[in-house]
Amino acid sequence: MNDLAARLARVLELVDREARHLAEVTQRFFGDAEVIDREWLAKQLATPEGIDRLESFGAKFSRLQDTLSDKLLPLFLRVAGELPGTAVENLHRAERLGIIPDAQEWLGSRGLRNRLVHEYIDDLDALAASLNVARRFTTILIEAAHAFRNYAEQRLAMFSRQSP
Amino acid sequence: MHISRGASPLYVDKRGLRRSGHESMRLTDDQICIIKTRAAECFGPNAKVWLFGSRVDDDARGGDIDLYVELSEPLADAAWRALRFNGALQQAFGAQHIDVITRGPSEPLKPIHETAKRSGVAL
Repeated sequence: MNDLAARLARVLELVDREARHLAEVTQRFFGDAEVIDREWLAKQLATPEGIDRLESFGAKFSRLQDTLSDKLLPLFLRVAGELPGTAVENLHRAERLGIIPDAQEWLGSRGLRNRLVHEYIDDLDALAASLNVARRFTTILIEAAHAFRNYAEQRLAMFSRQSP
Repeated sequence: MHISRGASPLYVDKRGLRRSGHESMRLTDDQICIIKTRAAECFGPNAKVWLFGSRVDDDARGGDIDLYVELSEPLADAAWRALRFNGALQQAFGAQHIDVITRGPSEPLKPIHETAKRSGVAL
């Protein structure tokens, strides 16, 4: 295994951990709640544990998104023999490879983190709306984490050195 | 002060010069056109969009693109559509910091909405 592939293996390990932590905190925070609205949210924020879980969810959501977009994706493309481009270009390549479902949604989701923090807490409707979107996007992040690993394990060795 | 005249509002800037509102937004006509087209795709043809924040301040430089969107019909997944709208604009403009606030027709006008409309420019 060359240096680049070894680095990829390490980042994939990190992504596995971050994805697991995000899945755990998502379950702790949202549980099986079907409707996330201001009433549900007010109840969560009435306890210090609820506030901690919200903060932890926001932090872990952002961390996995950053690791996937900024660390893993450019490295993954290099191992695949491609030159990483801009963030927008890289996400489109990941979409073409079938690793992420929609580059446009991924780009749009990057602004979500700022809406999951304290400054928006005074507007519970807005925070609840952002949490609904973030919860839905969490599934996309975690599935992308698995898709990166599957692709790397099953196809990258075969494709490396062949891509332009 | 804004003097509306059809699709091209006139704008009196801080130095008292009357000029096209679009010049004072620090967005190009192409960018405005893209914002309006994408907004129509994501929220329907009757959604109204305002630009507010530092991009309507002639003395500021760069800065986030803050957009306020008023929906003409209630949309259950407005927040998800806002995410897609945001992503479409980042795709068009390069990855920039864009913030989108939406308000459905039955939602109350909150202070942030009021500020966006009062201080912003309708596109």
